Amino acid sequence: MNSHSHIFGHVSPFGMHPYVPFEIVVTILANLDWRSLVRCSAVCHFWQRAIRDALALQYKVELGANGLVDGSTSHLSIPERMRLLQERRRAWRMLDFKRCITIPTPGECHAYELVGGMFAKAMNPHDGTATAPAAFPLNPGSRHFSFVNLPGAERIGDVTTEPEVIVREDVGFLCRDFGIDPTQDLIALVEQPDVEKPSITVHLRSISTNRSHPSATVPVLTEMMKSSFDGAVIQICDDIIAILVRVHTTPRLFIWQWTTGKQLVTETNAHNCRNMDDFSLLSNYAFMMTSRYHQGSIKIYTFRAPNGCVLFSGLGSAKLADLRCTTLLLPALQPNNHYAELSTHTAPFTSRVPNGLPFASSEDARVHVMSVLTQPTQPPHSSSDSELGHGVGGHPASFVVIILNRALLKHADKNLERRDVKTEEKGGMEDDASIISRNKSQRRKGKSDGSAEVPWDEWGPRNTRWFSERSTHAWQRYVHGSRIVRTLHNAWPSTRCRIQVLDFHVHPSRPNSESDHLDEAIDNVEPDVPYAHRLISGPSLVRDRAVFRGGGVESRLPYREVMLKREVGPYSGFMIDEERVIGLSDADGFGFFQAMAFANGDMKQIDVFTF
Amino acid sequence: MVIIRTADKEKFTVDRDVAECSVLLKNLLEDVGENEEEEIPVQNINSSVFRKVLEWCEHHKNDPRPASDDSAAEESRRRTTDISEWDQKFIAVDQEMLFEIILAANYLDIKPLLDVGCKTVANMIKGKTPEEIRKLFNITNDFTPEEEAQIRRENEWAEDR
Repeated sequence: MNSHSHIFGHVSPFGMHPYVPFEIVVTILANLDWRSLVRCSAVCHFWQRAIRDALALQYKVELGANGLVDGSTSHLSIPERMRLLQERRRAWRMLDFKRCITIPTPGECHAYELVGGMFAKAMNPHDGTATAPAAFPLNPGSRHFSFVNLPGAERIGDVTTEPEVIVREDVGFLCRDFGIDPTQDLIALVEQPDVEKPSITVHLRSISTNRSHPSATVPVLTEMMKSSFDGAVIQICDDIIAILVRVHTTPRLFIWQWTTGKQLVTETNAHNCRNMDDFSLLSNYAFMMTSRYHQGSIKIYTFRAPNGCVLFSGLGSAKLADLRCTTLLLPALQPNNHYAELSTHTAPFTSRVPNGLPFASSEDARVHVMSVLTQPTQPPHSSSDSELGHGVGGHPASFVVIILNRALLKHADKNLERRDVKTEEKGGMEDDASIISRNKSQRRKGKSDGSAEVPWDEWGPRNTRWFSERSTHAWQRYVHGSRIVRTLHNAWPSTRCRIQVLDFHVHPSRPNSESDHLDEAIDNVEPDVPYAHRLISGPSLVRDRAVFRGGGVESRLPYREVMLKREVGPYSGFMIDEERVIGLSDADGFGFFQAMAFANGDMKQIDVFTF
Repeated sequence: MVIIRTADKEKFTVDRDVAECSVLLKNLLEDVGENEEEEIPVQNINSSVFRKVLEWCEHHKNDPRPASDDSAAEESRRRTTDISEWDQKFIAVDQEMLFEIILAANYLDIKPLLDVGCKTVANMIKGKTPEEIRKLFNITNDFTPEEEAQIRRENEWAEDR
């Protein structure tokens, strides 16, 4: 067979099969993910040409390079989508907003969510203080919900209509907190716990009808509690609902498969939870917990296989100790310093690309934003001024750390591999030498309980970026996919502010298509350019000798920073999503201070900046 | 029943609804009408491959046909990256036969089967280095060492390490 290619003087795409035509090669390659596609262009000239010349494959690589996945908008052709993609990239790079639309959001606000283009707000239409149980002075709970489909980037065939609004005057009970996934028409409402008979009660409803969600076999998930809880964090990812509640500041974790009502993970043991600070899902099969003691770390837990297979074979739901775990260590601190807070935040998950969007942020590009606070372990006693700064105690310091979800998820996948090693070991399928060499290649310290520990230097510097700043992100949804919006407030008494967007999905070493360096040169000499723009590809060092054992933390996750020069507002803060930056107005004009108390304040309106 | 003649002159008597899995045969049969005596030739396919294709069509004859709205069918195919268990067993053949099935499915215009074949090849490619891929499919590396070094540099940005 090989002689064919020789005789005909060309090299065939599949050596054994000289007649495989170009379009079949393209059909085969179209099943690959974008990274594999790029790699396959190095196989031979034929494959390289296929990947370079077939628009469908080009589009796939461009989607990947821009941290996007294709939507279900089948009426748009690939050239049209390709053009939209390039326009969108350009628009985000310049913060070139074409429209700013004001959406009224009357009434107070107890809780809100921005997911898949839908803004949801919860409040109590009656005077909160009158109906609320005295046990919850800070959050009296909500009965009234409103959902607005926000206007987005103008699309072909768009008819300008008023934004669609759904109002539920009374959901029938006091709601403590809620989560939504509009792409599944799902709202999960956590009931305000009854002080006498506390329980976690989650109502699974359809946003559009307010009835029990048709995919939920059990419409209300319940879990009895010994004592009432103060706060609830809820995350929805596909068929998974995760709830972290705090009982006297100790977190308790529950993970359900909401479609079947099956509880997959329950951790109520106060001892196991004491060291946890915060929680986040990484995907529909893994999550992370941040831990302050004895050394700051991020623990990666895998609770099922990526295909949905449950791994835990015991009765009931799994405890943390039943799950495979990898501990990623944070930078070592000086003696007498400790991590005092490790709270973490990421964009909400959606099961599908929201309706009508040609593409949306991919999980491949997702980042987590972790607020880090370190403190001296023994607060300095009242001492003379001369001792301050020299004492062993050091000083409190705070940082914002951006972490690549993909890097964390990789360890969740390794948790599964390690499980295989163990079973193979039992079955005698693998000799000791190969187990040792595999463990070596993973460069991790295996422990007897099946957990592993990865030093900071091995995972951290290339997958994170540290900023030395006070975290002022009291509001939600300032991160979406790979982008973060920051509010640069003017000095008091000005209430105006500027929008800054950081994007952590950039490829400084990609040839040709990213002409960042060229752009940068033009932007900097041109005073009329309405935005300031820079690409940071080198490492940065956060220095603090009193806090970090090594004197500082080096990190090098590349990013792009764009700031709109013009002032806007007054806004207390911004939110961000696929195609919008949303300015949160505050009624009283004290932007910065108001932001902290915003969740219980009055919002009145939001301003939607879009392309 | 219809009679189909393969390239190596073998004759197959096939249920009409099995044959109609193939858009090509379906169109040909419409032209032939009710005249069941007439043999339908498929020039490019040998009996060994055609027998395999018929096995697939027999098992899938009751599947909903791809909608006339091609884009919707395209979409549903693209979304399901998994191959059903039966199809996986069916397509567990040597490489030679795998490509023959793909080419036959392409010629006969049986999109779901073409898809199963292409996905199977793609799964073989996934996670492999260019050199491993060349070895697997017996592909000649027609890059010069300089070209290869350059491509490696140019592609580095997309590697996920």
